[in-house]
Amino acid sequence: MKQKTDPKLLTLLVCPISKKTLRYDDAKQELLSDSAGLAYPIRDGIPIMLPDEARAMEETEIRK
Amino acid sequence: MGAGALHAARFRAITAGMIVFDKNRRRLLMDKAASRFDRADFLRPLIERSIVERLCDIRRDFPDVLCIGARISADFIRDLATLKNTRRLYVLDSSEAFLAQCAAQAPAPDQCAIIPVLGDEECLPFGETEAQFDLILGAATLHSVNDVPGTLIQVKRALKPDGLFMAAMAGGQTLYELRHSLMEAETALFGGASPRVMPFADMQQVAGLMQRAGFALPVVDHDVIPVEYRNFSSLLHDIRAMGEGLCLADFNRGYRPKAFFDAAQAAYAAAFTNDAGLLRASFEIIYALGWAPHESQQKPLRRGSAQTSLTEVL
Repeated sequence: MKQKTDPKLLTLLVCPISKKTLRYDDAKQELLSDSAGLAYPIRDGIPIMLPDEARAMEETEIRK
Repeated sequence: MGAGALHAARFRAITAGMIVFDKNRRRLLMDKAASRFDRADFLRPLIERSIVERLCDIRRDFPDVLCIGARISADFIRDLATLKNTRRLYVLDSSEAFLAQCAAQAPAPDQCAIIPVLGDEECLPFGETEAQFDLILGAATLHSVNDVPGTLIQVKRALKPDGLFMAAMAGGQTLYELRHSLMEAETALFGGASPRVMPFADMQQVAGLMQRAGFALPVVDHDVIPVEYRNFSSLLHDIRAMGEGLCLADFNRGYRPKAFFDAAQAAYAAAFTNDAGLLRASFEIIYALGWAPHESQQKPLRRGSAQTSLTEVL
């Protein structure tokens, strides 16, 4: 069973590096930080907000 | 190098200013300790009771709470929910095992929702966009942070105006007996000493840091908890079981023979045995409290703004 992330939490979280807002990708279960170019994974509904565990985004993914 | 890798490298460079603690090693120690933590940590109920007592002195509810550190008990969560009307408890920790354990012990969901977030206390994923929390708790985590001033500033920014920050952390008198014995043994055997017990802040330093971070009306106090151990190895066992094994970045991992352990044990027994033949060990817990600034709070008047001359009064 896929666990849902708390919806209010998604509005509160910011990128821990740039402190800017994040985009939520429901299908991929990722939180995207355009400013830092990092995609933070969500595992079992728990956002993993560690830069070391984040995926580096492709240039094409980044929305200016 | 992609943008992401660049940023991750920058992040490491920023935090590399003064690396005292090896965060990855700390995460590992914590994950290892999670399963047996409940039995070892006799300090936790004491600390939690002190935090709840201090919160109850404040006549206010705290509906939205962020707890930095997932090593909290079900009793503590229930106290927050019933005494302080906490409805949403966000829990941040860098150890997945402790986070899972904390989320599993949630009370009835209608009472208080527990919302876990995996993250690093030194780079909080909260703040700046909008003020968010009525209360932020530092539950025995801030003593292993590299950049304490930076962390406190981030905490302050994540608080609502007039929001409260309260932290409990280990202070400088913690395990001074062990520090002393290990140093004595290492000097005698190897002709030099290396750090083997974490460096802890003392009360004055914590008070200074709270002020520097810009908290209003800061208060810092402490408890020293004396503990007695039957032998040296049970003390070491407890420290590891708490997940507080050494996680210094610059730690001498060279081979240390059994002779070193024996010498430390002898030095400890010689200096710190009490009348009952037990080994003394001290734990100092520092409690720090401060508010996010708000215009309703009392402030000193500006210098030179007095209406009456002091000479008229005296």
